[in-house]
Amino acid sequence: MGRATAITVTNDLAELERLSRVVEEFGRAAGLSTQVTFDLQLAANEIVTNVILHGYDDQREHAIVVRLVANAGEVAIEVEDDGRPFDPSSAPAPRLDLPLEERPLGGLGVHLARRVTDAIEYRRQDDRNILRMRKKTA
Amino acid sequence: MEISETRREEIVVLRLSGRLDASTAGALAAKLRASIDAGETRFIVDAERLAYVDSAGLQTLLVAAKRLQPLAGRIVLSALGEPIRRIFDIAGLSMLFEIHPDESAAVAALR
Repeated sequence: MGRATAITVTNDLAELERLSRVVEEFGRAAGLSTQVTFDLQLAANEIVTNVILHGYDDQREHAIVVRLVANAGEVAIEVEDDGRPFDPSSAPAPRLDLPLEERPLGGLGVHLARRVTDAIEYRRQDDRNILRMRKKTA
Repeated sequence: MEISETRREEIVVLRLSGRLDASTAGALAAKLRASIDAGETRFIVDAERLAYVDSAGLQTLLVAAKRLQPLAGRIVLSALGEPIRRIFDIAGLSMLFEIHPDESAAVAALR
């Protein structure tokens, strides 16, 4: 029997703490390990931060939906937003072997989200970005 | 997130607690910027009570380190918990920053 929850946040960075809290509560209720829960928080946080900072051309309030589903051996996290099209699954990986003076500042968020999950799938549907990340829990 | 700022001789020590993310990184960036503007060149960021860090927090540290490099300054880290250390490793920052087990070791390294 799976467990599922969803949370809607607005495009305000102050919402990140509430998002993290909901993911943490979900992880505890679903019996996930501390590390898996931390990784889910990070992945959700990075993707939502990107949407808030780069997704919108206007100053209006927007809703971002985050859904979590835990099944035997796997947990999925989905972020849905009405921002401009952006496919994190095809973003180039940042160079992590460069010395300090050449190290780029951008691209780390998507990199972290991809590295702490096992699969990442993007689709654009009805003018919305839907990003689904999956992580093995066993 | 809370930041407590102290000094140990010529070293600025910033102790972080709570969450260093995109909503809080600006406060750390402002503190680092102001201190570097004021001529400080040696920093310890102590993460003993830091529960969470994301790419925005890492970028803030990178910006400060890049700025300090031509000034012969340094920013070193201390007391990273296991989850935080793992994020530094994944982001490729562990090779750019000295990471010390505790604040005293960081002070000794900066002297």
